[in-house]
Amino acid sequence: MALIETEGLGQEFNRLPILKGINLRIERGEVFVLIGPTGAGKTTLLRLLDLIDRPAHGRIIFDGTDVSHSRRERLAARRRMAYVQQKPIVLSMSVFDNVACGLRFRHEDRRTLRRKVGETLELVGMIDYQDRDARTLSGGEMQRVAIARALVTDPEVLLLDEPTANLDPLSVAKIEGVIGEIIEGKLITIVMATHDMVQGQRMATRIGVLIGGELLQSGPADEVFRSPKDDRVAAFVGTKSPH
Amino acid sequence: MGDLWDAIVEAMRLIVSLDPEVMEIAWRSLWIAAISSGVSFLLISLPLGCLIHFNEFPGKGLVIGLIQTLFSMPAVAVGLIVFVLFSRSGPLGVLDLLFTPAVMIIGQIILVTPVTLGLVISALRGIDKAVPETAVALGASPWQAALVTVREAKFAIVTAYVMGFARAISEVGVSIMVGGNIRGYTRTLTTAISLETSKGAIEFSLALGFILIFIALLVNVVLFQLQHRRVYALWRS
Amino acid sequence: MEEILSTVFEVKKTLKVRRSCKWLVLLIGLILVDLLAGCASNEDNAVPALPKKGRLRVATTTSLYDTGLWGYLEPMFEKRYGVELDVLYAGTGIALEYGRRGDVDVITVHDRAREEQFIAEGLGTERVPFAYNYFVIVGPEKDPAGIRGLTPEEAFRKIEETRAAPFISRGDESGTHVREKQIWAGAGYNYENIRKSGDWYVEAGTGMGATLAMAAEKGAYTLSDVGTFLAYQSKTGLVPLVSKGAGLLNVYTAIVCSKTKSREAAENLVTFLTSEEIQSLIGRYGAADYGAPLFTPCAGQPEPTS
Repeated sequence: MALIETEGLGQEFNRLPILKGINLRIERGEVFVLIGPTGAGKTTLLRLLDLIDRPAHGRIIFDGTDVSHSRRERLAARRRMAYVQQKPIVLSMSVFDNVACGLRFRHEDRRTLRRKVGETLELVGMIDYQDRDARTLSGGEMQRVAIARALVTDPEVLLLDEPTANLDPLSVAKIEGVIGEIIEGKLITIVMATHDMVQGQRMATRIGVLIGGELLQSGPADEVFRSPKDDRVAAFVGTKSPH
Repeated sequence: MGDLWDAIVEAMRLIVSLDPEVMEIAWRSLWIAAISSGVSFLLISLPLGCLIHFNEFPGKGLVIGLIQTLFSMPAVAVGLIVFVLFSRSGPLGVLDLLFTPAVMIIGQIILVTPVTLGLVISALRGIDKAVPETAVALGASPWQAALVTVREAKFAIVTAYVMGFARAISEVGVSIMVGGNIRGYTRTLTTAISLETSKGAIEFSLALGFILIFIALLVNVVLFQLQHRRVYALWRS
Repeated sequence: MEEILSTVFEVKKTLKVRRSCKWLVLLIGLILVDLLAGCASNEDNAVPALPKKGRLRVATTTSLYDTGLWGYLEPMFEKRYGVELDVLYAGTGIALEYGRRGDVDVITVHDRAREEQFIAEGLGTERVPFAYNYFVIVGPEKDPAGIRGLTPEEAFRKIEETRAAPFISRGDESGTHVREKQIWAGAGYNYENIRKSGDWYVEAGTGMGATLAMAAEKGAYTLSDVGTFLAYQSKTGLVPLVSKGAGLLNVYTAIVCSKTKSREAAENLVTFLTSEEIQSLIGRYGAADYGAPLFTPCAGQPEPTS
């Protein structure tokens, strides 16, 4: 059974459709990379998957449960996931407290909290910064804090929205390294949005191509790149059109 | 000018000599205002402000507009309304609360709540909605996310309390109408000033006025410390 | 219910766990301390904790208060009867209104006509005169309108005709104000015309003390009860110019309000005011400070008429 499934998912903004008829299956443990041009609706889709927003149409099924409606079920499902926003904001507290947020929301006890936060900060290489006010960090450092913040709650699903956009190459490499370590070390499902095709190809188990609000193709990386099903996909990935 | 200077000197003398009657009414002004503004802020404005700010509902703009309009409610008008309500011949007269400190607190709460509520909402508005969204994305329940936002806005939120306290401690209209200005029981600095003025004792009234300002200064110094400790901590890192 | 509990629990935990929420805890602490202190200071020091019923409210005309008479009598009454006395500084008009609404238990006022109507409306049991003095028309030493020694009505007429100095009126429906209106009527004037007739007639809207202060400031005439006048004389420098005349009699009465919930205590107060001991104290009040007593006791005697 897929961990996350969507059926006919659609979203609107001011009556204008942004996402149409999304049918998606995300399997446990895979790295699903959503690629597409800016404005295709990647962020919108991730927000729907994280159950932050309610869809205008369709259903989402998380681990076998339809979570389209009940507030309590959505909260419960949301707590099993973690979402890192495109330009993450940090709260005005220390790095440690920022990362500890999610655990505190879940009423984690003090000692376990300290341990988990410490471990996660080590993982992202920010352990030396733990007492610094998070607002004084650089872009790349904030991104790593945001990832740590998301990871510390041991989510089953990690949703990353363009984690390396707007970062310098060194930071990009660091972040990709961190994500790589996460993939290796933990049993976790990752859904990542990016407009960097090369990055997508490198990191993904499967790729989904989102253009104009529609999921045009999804499958293993080479399949998408070598055999694009659609003109638009072909144009985006830069291969010859099938026709 | 001589009058003012004499009044300041008199005020200093009253404070330093710890004149018992003045100390008594000063303390009463302080605790009545602290409770009214505290109750208004913690029990009403903070939760209600969060509810209003974080939820969409029809007429939301109107509600906020109405709250801001009520900033200008004259204290005397509130005093009259509360008086008529709690008078023995009024609907709540059976509670027998007129001319007691309790009804003064109730009246002040009514007076002060629009101010604290409006400023809490205004403070929350100043925070990017990415803040509560981040909290939600990390698994916060709606109230947890609201609390996170409140923390981010704490400077402006504390100011909301300070404004409420200021309005409460400086008002006369409510205190005098529903309190009755009873010596030793419901007399406060402001009602005493009113009484002394109507008796023609200008210098003493002014002195009481300066004591009131002095108290407000003390309170604000304390709250200022609380607000700025955080700014200093940020600067330190 | 469950949701409320879980919310409270979450709030508590969130607050406890955040070290940086010290400020919020401090604020709450401050308020709680005030709350507790408030409960403590609600009990007055002299009398131990009393049930609600132990408070008696009397609304008094300002002249009984400004002279300090109530401040003088209050502790004596409280000690003797073990009842907290709340004295509301009101002015006759407001006092009657409070009595009408049942918000006070006793009123002490000085306007016979309105008192009788109050009784007639069933709002009070009986008028109990307990002290009297006189009104005086006071003004600057040099008496620009030349009213010294005239009757009250003649004096008013002269003030209006010459307009040599302003006249300050209480303007607040107090006993003093009502008496002033009666004198104007006695002198043949329509009061409404007086109010509109010019800047010389000033409606102060303040208590007797402040009105006297204003008269002193402007070198004006005003009508005052002799008690307050004497108490403020050294500060104002005004002098009594007309102190004789039937229209100047000022009788203070105490009335128990019918709507009182503390009838026994209210009647105790009236008994107290008319008791021999207190009557004699009232008769001596102010003599040491102002050269002459401010009031003449009259309880139990036929009500004075001049």
